[in-house]
This record gives sequence, C-alpha cells and structure tokens, in this order.
Amino acid sequence: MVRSITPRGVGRPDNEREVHRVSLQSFQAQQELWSYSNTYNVPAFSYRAIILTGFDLPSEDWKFYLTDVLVTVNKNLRFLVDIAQNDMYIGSKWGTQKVHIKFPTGFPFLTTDELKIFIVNYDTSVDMDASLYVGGFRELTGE
Amino acid sequence: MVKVVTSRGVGFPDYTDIIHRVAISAYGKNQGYFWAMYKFSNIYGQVQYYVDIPLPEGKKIYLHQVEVSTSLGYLVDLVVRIIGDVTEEHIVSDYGGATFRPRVPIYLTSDDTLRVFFAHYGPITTTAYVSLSLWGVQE
Repeated sequence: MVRSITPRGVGRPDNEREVHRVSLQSFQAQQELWSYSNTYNVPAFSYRAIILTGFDLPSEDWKFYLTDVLVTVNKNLRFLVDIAQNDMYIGSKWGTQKVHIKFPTGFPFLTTDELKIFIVNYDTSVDMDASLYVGGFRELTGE
Repeated sequence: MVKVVTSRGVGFPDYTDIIHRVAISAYGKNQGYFWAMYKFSNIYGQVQYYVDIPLPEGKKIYLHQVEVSTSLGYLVDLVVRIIGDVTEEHIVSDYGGATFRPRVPIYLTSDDTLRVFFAHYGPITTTAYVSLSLWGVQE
C-alpha cells in the first residue's frame, strides 16, 4: 500500500515555488549521469521549495534514478532537507551546514515526475544561503 | 565519531508512545524500490521510541540504509532490530543523527518485523524534531 501525503514544510512558508528543467551533463556508455545545481537564499524561519521537472529526452527505453541530494549552507546552523516525489515524501534529514541524502542504488522515477526539495530554515533570526546539488543517472532498459 | 555496536545485550524497552509523536509519514514501493519516512515532533528529554516499518507483502526486501537525524546536536542512538526466525540488532550512535548502512544489504521478508528505535538524549527544556528515513530494494 502506498500512502500519499502532501509535503508541508514547517515554519512560515514563503509561498515560493521554483521550477527548473534538468539537463544531462555527462554520460557513459549505457548509463548517463544527470545533475542539477543552484544556490538559494533561505530567509529566517522559512523554507524554499525547489521543483525539478522536465527531464530531458523522455523515452520508455530509459529509466531515471535519483542518487544524491546535497545541500550546504553558509551558516553554522542546523537545518532540514525534505525530498518528495510528486506529492509523497521519500526522504528527510537534518544536519549542520551540510545535509547529504544518498539514495542507495538510486531512487527510480519517471520523466513526468516532479522531484521536490524543501530547504527549511528553522532559525528565527538568521538568513542563510544554500547551495543545492541534485544528481543521478539514467539507464537504458533494453536494446 | 560513529560508534557501531553489534549487540547491546539488554536492548531497548518496547516503548509505545511513538504514535503520538509522528507528525508526517510516508512509505511505499516504486519500480522495485522500497522506502519509508517519518517525521517526529515534540521530542524532549532523554527518550526512546520505536516504530514498526510496514513491509511489502509477498516480496523479498533488501534493506540498504536507515538514517535518523534531529534538529538538535545531541546524542542519538539508532537501533535497527529485525525480528524473525532469528532476531538481530544493529546499533549506531552519533551526535545529531546516525546512519546504519550494512556492508551487505539485509534480506527481509514480509514475515519479518522491521523495528527501528531511536533514543534521543536531549535536554528536558528544548523540543526536538526527528526525521527517520530508510531505503531498500524489493523483488
């Protein structure tokens, strides 16, 4: 049974939805890597919701996988990163200055899916700048 | 430093207050992948909780990784207990959160119970949030 729960951040939402297309950056034979990176300001006691969608070259012959979400911030703060596939959480982690969520073997998803990364700043007075890296691979399923 | 202990002997009490602490949960399966995620709130003091992870019926499951982390930097014990024909337990402790990543994925069936404990050694005066995530493969 799969239960679907709409992700919600904690703290004061800033109502900001950012949608980014993702392009493939490097490849090997039979396996291509994809990645996305950007930087964001996360004001005190708020979160940024970054939506990755529009993965290139949708084809039934390819399967896409998510392997890494890495967020580093410029302040010595504990902060939270949540990850959702469409409207369902698939991971959550707290850390200080750096949060690295590694999906063993790669989390499978479709090119039509949305990957959402929530960067949550619980501190009530300190803004932070966050650097986001998201990466994975795609794999040819057959000849 | 991460301290890995294969057996603690006494084990944890099977404390059942966890249901009141779960703020958000999600679990499921997707193209051969299996995962679960819980977010807990209102954790304070020195407390121990556990949650039984629902396992897909009729599937072979290989557990790859379990991770717990908290909003505070205090010590956390993560205990992964598999209750089946033979019960095995793995304990990882670290400050602010802990990750259990077996060298070889742990084989489970839906007949087993996958019970994940965490102990949070925080102060009585500060409330913590705790995130728990685990990932594996199902066949």
